[in-house]
Formats: sequence, C-alpha cells, structure tokens
Amino acid sequence: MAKKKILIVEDDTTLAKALAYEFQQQDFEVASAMDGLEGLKLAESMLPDLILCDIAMPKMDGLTMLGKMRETSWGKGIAVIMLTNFSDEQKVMEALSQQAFDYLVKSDWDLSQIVAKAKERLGV
Amino acid sequence: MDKPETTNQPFFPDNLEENKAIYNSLQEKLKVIFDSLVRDKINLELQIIESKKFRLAVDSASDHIIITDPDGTIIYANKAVEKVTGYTFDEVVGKTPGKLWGGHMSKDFYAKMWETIHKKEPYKAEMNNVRKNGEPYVAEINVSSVSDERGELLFLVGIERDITKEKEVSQMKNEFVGLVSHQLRTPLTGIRWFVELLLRNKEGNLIPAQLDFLKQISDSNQRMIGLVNDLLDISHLETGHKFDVVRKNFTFDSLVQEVLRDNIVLITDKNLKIVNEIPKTLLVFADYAKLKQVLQNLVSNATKYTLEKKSIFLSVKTDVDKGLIFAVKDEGIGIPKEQLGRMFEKFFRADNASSQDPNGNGLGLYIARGIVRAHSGDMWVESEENKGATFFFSLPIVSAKDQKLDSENKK
Repeated sequence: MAKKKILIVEDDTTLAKALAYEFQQQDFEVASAMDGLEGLKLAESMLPDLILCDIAMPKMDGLTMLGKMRETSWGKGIAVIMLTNFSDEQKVMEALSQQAFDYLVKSDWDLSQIVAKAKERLGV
Repeated sequence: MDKPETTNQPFFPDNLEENKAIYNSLQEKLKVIFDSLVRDKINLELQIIESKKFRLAVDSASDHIIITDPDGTIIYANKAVEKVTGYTFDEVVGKTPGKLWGGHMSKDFYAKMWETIHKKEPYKAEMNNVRKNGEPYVAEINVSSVSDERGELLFLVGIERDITKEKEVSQMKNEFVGLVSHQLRTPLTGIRWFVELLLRNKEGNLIPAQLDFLKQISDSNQRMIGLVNDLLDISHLETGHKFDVVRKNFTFDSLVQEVLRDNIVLITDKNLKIVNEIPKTLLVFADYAKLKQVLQNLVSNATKYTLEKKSIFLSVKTDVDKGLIFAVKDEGIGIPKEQLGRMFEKFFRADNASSQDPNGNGLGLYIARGIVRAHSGDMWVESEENKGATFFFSLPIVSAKDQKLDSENKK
C-alpha cells in the first residue's frame, strides 16, 4: 500500500520538526510548509491525503489558506486538521465551518494522540 | 417711688399680690416661649447647616448624583454630573437622563430598569452613555427610590460612576494575558513533544535515572500548560463576555464516564469507591466541553482530597427554582469552617489543601463556577472539616422552545 501523504503547515520550526519526525516514524510521506501561501502551493502540487495546519502564520494565515483551498476543485475534499495554540470559539467555529475535521490546541495533545487523530480521519 | 405705692397699697393690697403673681406667671410663660423660640431658631440654624453640609457633601462627591421626580425628570444634579457628562446644572434640570447622556441601551434594558424601580427595588447595572461632546463612556449606575410613609414614590436617586478607565485597563490586562498565554503555549508544546519522543527511549540507551528526570520535566511542563490554560480561561471570564457556551443535548452520564476514565489512575491507586446515583438517561442542555471541565475539576478534587478506601458520591435532584442540582460529595479532609466562604476566590487555597495536593494553583473552582454561571446556574459548597465536602452546581432546565432559540442565536 502506498504511503499516506501528510502536509504540515507550521511556521514554528521546532514544532514542525517534531511533527515531521513523528509522522515519518509512523510511515507517512511528509512535506512541510512555513506559511499559508507556501502551504497552498505545495498542497496543489502534491495533493496530500491530510493537511495539519497552524493558524497564526506569516504571509497567509491558516484559516485564509483553508478558505482559498476549499474554493478550488482540487482542494475541496482534502482532509484538514487545524493544529493551533489559539483556543477562542470564533476560530474553532470558522475552521469547522470550512470542513476542518478537527481543531486541536497543540499544547493539550501528545504527538501520539495527533497521529491517532490523523489515522482516525484517514481510516488507517 | 415709695410714696405712691404706699398710697395705693390700701386700695389694692390683694390685687397687687395677685398682679405680681400674674406678672410672674406671664414672665415664666414668656420665658418658656422665648426659650422654645431660641431653641427652634437654633434647630433651624442647625438644620440649615446640616442641609448645607449634606448639599456640600453631595455636591462635591466624586460620583455623579442626580435626584429626579418619579418620572425621571431631573430636579437636582451635583457638580460631578457636569464633570462627567459635560452638561451644566441648568441644562439638565427639567430634562430626563435619556434625553441627555443616556438612551443608548436597548429597549429591553430600560424596560427592566423601570420594572425594578417601580417594584421599589434598588437597580444596579452597567450602561453605555455619551457625554455632551459625543464621547462615549461606561458607567456603573445605582438607582434607588425614596417613598413617603404611605409608600407613595417621592423621587429617585441615581448615582453613576464613570468606569471607562477601569474597563480599558482591565481589557488591556486581559488582552495581554491572552497574548502572552498563546505565545507561551508554543514553546511549551515543543518541550512536551520532544520529551515525549525521548521518553519512548527508542534506542534503549537512557538509564532509569535519566528517564525519571525526563518524567519530572514532563510533569513540570504539564503543570505549566495547565496554568496557561487556566489563565486563558480567567482572562476570558474577566473580559466581561464570560464564557461563550455552545449548548447541545447530551446524556450527563456520558460526561461522568469520560471524567471517571480520566481520573481512573488515582481512583484505583487510592482504592476509592465511586457511588454514581445519577440516572443514566438524564439529558442536559449545556456546553459539553465546558461542563466536562466543571465535573473534571470537582471529581479530581474529590479524588485528591478523599482518604484511601473511602467513597465519592455523585447525585442529582430537581429544584423548583434552580432546575437540576448536581452534587459531588467526598469523604475527604473537608474545609475549615472559616474558609468555606472563600473557596471560589481566585488563587485561594484552604489551609489544609497543600498536604493532599501541593501543586494546586487555586484557580479550578473559580473557573468552574464561572462556567456554571455562564450557563445561568450557580455553584456552592457545604463541608465539615475532617468529614468531607459536598460541591453543588445547578443547571436551569431549558424548555425545547428556548433550546431552539439558543441554537438559532448561535448561528
């Protein structure tokens, strides 16, 4: 079976490194982007099975990226988990209304739990 | 002088005595009247001084004070009124506050205010007003009614305090806490994730002491994450808009089971018995995640403070006024009587709490009560030291019609 493709859109290099390491260990194919603009381009070229997306990022924030992707034919159905340190209701609602599968506050989750969430969404 | 007296004496000897008596008595009476007049004059002067004193005190009070007739037309305004609103005494007398600085709240707001005033109950609220120069300000108002002995409304006294600055400072403080907390979460996440990877000891080359140290780092980090979460909750709680609750229907038991699962380690370690008397089918209309936080707080406190092999009881009853009343009862160390009233204060911890839980931060109950209040319920405690404590929280029963309204408002 082909490896599942994960795109990590995260501007904090430390957190991006931990996520990439963990998903590679769990046998995923991993690509990373540092902001929403780069994330959008990379998503279109690699068509990942799942995107882990931060919210507060330079150039383009995660919610804008998600909104733009949902307007395209290729990005309508891509699975997305918002991974952020903002916990206000408004952002959660906005993400969920754009068909994000889940909204996780990073500091409340272990890497293993995030992997479990990703696997749950991908049905693997 | 002596002569006529002696000459007259034989003619009116008795009358003279009588006259003297009449004169004396008249003099007495006059003296009494005079004294009373003097007393009245002094009283009057005192009253004038008193009233001047009162007027001076009211005039120079820093709070804005108005007296109106029962319809709200202003008959007196102190100096602070001009200072706060910009309207002079002459500009306000004869008009209503609604035509001057007020009138910017919703119809419902004023309806409720007048309803309270007409019931002759004191009214207290926060209001958005506008000064004469068009500048908005926030005021805390207190209105009380003054009636005569027959209960007829004579006039209203309105006291306003300009709290704009306080509001701004508290808003800034909370925004700052919010920002800092978000910024803190990122490095805390980094520590959490890399410690997690190290603790797996994949290569098997970490010795037990090193693994133990990593565990200590992880524990400290978790406490810091918890503290940041609590601070965020508090800044949310204190920005005025309380917690945004997103309500839905769910069985309360699903919550109980989840919370018990989260606390299973300590429950098993201490060999505690959980007596759950809450009906499995009981439905509640509330914010699941927030109510879980409340129950999690109460249950984890109960497990921490209950002594080994004792029990924790979960129960519910209905109340005409309060709706559903849930209770979490423990057989723990209890709370000292003189500290019972302070249990829901921010950062407060009872004197005997540290022996059972040295790492608590005293924020859990404050937040839990804030969440319950955002659901229009309340939280309170009963306890006897060394016997245990029971924490209660109420949730009003929401009719199907109001449930529909609530979900429509959230859209």
